[in-house]
Amino acid sequence: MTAQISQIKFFFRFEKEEAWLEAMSASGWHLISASYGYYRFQAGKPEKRVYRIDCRNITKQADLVDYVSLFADSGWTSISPKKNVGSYYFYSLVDQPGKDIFSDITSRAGRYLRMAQLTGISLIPMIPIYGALIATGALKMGSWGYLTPGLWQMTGVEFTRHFLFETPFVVLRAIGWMLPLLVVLACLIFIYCYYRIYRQELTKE
Amino acid sequence: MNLNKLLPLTETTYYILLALCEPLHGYGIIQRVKALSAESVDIAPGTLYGALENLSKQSLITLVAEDAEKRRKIYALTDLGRQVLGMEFSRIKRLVEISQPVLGGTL
Repeated sequence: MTAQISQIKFFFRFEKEEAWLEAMSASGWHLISASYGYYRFQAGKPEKRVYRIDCRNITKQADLVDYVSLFADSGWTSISPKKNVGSYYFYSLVDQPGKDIFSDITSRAGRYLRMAQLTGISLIPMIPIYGALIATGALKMGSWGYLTPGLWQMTGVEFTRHFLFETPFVVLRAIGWMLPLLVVLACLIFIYCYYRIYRQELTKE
Repeated sequence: MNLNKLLPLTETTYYILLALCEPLHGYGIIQRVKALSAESVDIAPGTLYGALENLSKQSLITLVAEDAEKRRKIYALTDLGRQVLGMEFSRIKRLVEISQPVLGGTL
């Protein structure tokens, strides 16, 4: 049984992620799967690999096969490609300067634009989910205050005791209520960041 | 649709349309462009895939078949694609004709 390790990491820049995977392979850990920041590596002999990551919205099996074949024909091995995941990982053992999966600036920058678009698409199903939770009363604004009857009429030690006892629950309920909002907010920030990198990359020489 | 809006084509797009005068799959296009350009243009797969997506969306190329292993999609020019390629060819030819007497032996 070959040794395996997993790592959780987040990258905004594909270039940094690729460099990290190349360093891992150089030290004998080769990527076997990657999804949403969860990476699995298998032990092997240290190798000089070139890693490249592409971002595509591939939803059909036939499209995936065609896509992966095109890269294979061009000398790029795909690492556990799946439909509907957005990111595709490739490596090549050909050590040739300038070896890349993109041959012009516009298409190289384009993967950041697609990341922004895919993040946007992933937001769409959240709208009805959040709406349904509010409509069915599962998320009620009024229900996350302090619930102890007569809490605000208490004084002294009794008040402090009840107040401190209940505060963690209030905080938990508040987080639960705000979680979908935070996710939406985080997505919007991601979209903005990816779009900014896209603009930067377009003007890069 | 005003076809002039699609012009000028990028060098990559022009070569892809030129290669697709005969039906080819993705890697076939890369090889054909390499041969046509005397090895000077080497389109990378990520760039080609995006270009094929865009050209399909603009209806300049279309899917005609799959290869024998049913792994690779085979594309060809549409009538519209042929028309746009012809327009771009005429545009470049005209530029060359206009430039020739001006630049003559100066370059």
